[in-house]
Amino acid sequence: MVEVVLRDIVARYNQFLAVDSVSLTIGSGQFVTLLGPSGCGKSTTLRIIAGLMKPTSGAVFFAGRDVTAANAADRKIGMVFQSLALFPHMTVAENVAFGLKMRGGAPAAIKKRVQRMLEMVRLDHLSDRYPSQMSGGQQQRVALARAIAVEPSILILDEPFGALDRKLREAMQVELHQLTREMKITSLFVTHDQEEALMLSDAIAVMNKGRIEQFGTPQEIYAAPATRFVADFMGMTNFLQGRVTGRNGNGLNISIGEATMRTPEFETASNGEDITFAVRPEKIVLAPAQAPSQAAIEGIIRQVTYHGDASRIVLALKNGETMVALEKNDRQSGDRSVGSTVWAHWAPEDMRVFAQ
Amino acid sequence: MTAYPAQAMGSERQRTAGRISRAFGASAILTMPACIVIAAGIVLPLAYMLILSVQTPDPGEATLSTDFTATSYLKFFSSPFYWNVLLKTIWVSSVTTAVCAFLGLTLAVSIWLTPPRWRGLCVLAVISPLLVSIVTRAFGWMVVLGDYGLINNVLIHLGIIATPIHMMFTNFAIVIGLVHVFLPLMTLPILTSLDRVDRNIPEAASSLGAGALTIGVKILLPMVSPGLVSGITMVFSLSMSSYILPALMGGADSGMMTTLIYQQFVVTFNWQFGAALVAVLLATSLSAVALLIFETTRRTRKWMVRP
Amino acid sequence: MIEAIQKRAFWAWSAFLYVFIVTPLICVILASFNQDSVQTVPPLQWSVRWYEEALRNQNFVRGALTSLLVATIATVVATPIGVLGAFGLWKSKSRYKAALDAFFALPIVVPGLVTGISILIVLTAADVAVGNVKLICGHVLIVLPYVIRTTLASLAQFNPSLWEAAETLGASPPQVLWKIVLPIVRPGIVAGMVFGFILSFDDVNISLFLVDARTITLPISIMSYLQFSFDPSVAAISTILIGVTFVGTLLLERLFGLKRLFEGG
Repeated sequence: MVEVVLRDIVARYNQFLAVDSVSLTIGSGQFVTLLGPSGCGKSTTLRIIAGLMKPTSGAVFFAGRDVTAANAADRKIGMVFQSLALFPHMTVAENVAFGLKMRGGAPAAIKKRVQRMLEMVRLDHLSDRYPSQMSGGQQQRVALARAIAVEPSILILDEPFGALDRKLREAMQVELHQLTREMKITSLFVTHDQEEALMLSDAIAVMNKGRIEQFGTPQEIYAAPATRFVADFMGMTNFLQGRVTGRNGNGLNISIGEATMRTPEFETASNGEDITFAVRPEKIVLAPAQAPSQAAIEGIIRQVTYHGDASRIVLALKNGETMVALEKNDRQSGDRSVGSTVWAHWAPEDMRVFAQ
Repeated sequence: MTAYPAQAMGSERQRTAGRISRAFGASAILTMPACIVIAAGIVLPLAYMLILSVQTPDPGEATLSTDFTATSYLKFFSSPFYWNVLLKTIWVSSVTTAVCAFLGLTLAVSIWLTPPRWRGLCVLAVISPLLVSIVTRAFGWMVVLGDYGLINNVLIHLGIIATPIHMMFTNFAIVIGLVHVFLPLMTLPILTSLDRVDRNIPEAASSLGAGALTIGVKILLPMVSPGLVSGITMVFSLSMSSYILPALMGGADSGMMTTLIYQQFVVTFNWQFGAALVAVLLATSLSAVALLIFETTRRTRKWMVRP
Repeated sequence: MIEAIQKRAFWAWSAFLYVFIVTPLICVILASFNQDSVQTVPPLQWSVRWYEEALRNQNFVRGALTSLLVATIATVVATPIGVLGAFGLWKSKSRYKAALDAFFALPIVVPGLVTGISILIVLTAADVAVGNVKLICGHVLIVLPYVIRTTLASLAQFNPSLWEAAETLGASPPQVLWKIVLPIVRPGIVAGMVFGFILSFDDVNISLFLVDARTITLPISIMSYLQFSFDPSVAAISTILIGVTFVGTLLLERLFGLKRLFEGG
């Protein structure tokens, strides 16, 4: 298991800058996810690490060795593609054995290893089947076994579960999590699905427009997003404008329209400065009147939609902005009809402050 | 409600029309003319010709009778000369097909790897010769391979040889000409098959350590076998039955079945014998093709998923 | 390192293949500009005199006119038959649909040589002696399958909801076919016509057995000329043919796409 380091990777096609000076360290045995929307540069970065594409500038290191000039075949990687890319004319066993055969090795040893790999993904009883004779989930596991069989320096997965239905996807996520932890394989995962990233990763790099906006543990990314983009991407989607009015112990006083409240300290904020703050819809509690100890703001209900265990309520605030609350249906209290006035409350710790 | 009587009548007319077309099968009516033309133009004459082949040989006579005789076939199968002609035809066709298959595979892969910007132009370049008359293409090769043609000219000019190499009117010339004519027909089906290959697959093979040659032979080749088989059957059949090119490139005594057949129909008027020759040619061609298709279908059926 | 060499070798080989494909045609064009009565490439001296010679050659002119006449009539006859056939096949729900599709492909599958011979035999037995009639009979079979094919290919891309929409708006099936389907698949039909026309004009295999002393097509007259004479007027007339074909090719590519024409089904 190997440590992979990226240093100032830049990738440019014609005039388009796909990857803009990205640096990253994937520790040995760590599971790192590149998370971001389409076009953010995560797939390009992945292909550069895999060796399927050369960067315009920058370097890639496997275990301290510069492999930037090496191609995919020489880097000893295991890759799982979104389309799986199983060889249709070879049996399951032959597919898994392929990488081992390419690296040379005694047929007997190869056979043993293939057997072990198939046992690990519970497909040893189907080793003579062809991919076309297997279900989607089974094909996924063959792709995984094939990638792991060669004892790769790094396991690379390019949105492998994107095409699966929800149930199968969850089952595969669990299986992948278990397998990679058990075998302590250095893994790089690419996805646009934040739940998937939170569940699988030791560390997440959130990417946007070719740059890494934040690199941290899932907890850090979720609870303490560093930039507005990361907050928005991770579901912290209420953004309100406010102004700093003064210091208050460990926090700041800010005003939002007519309301005033106390927020956690935001280091570079100075008096009079405009700031944006974000809070999750799930963290908002609606009440008919303002409660004293919490941050609160008054709003008029504009839309209510039902989502099974919760309801989504859109509020119009006095200053013209909109706020969305996601309220559990069994904890509702008071009038939720359109046009009624409510007070939205949240705890100061649940707010994140960003510069304008 | 009596408000829309006109409309009611209109739909009544439509319902009747619908019933009629269903009764007669509108499709059947529409396809009838085409079926008649093909039946009258291909099936009937072919059957006629086959029956003619078992008629008593009578120069210039084309009428049929119920007096069947195998004279023409016996004449063919009992003579080493005719066997030679058939074997030579098979040989030339096989060599042509093999060379064409190799060239076609590499050409198809080349087009497949060509950046999309140039691809249309490349495909155009490969296909357009098909729209030029075969006489012109054969003539082109005469100009290239002739004793005073392009190749000899260049070689003599460069001082590599002193006297022209004699290339026309040889088997070599026939094969070159046929390969040139049929190359596009071999390349296109292979290209179609290649376009169905998930581009991640050669990448996966590369990530597992395979070099370019291995990927080509062990991964791509099996996956394009439907296209390859399609191309091979087409080229082989067409080679077997091609007349113009072997006649022009190989001369009147080229020793091919088609030249022999031409002579029977236009020179000696032994139509019954000629018909038998055509039958033998067709049978040979079809058997070879059927055998190939049978073999490969058997082998690929296990894993092939028809898109 | 080895990979770089392999890569370069492969692209060099590809370039060679493209050269192989275009060389004969380029040579024909170049040879036509020879001053003297030789086929040297490149020409020692340039001249267009052989073009004048070719256009004055009565056999070539007669052949060209006959080819034009036959191709036009064959196309005009084959197109409606083919379009109807394609429509019928497209709408068919019968279990013989695939067999019918194969049946329509017969004229392409059966070698031209065999078709030409068989038709000759039958027409002789039926005592048909007029050269043009014989040729037209054979050439209809050249054009027909391609018109069917291209029309079918266009129909395959036709959105079936359009048919249903028209029906709900009150059109009967013949009206839908005429007013809705036909205009939309017209490019495909025209492509088939152009392609069939070109193939008919170029044809030798079938025409070989259907010509006689008084009737000759252009490719065959070229071929006979080739067999006893070897001057650049052949190159000249061939170059003219290539030029006309090239225009047709571009037209086809625009209308339909050349690759689609040759794709099986």
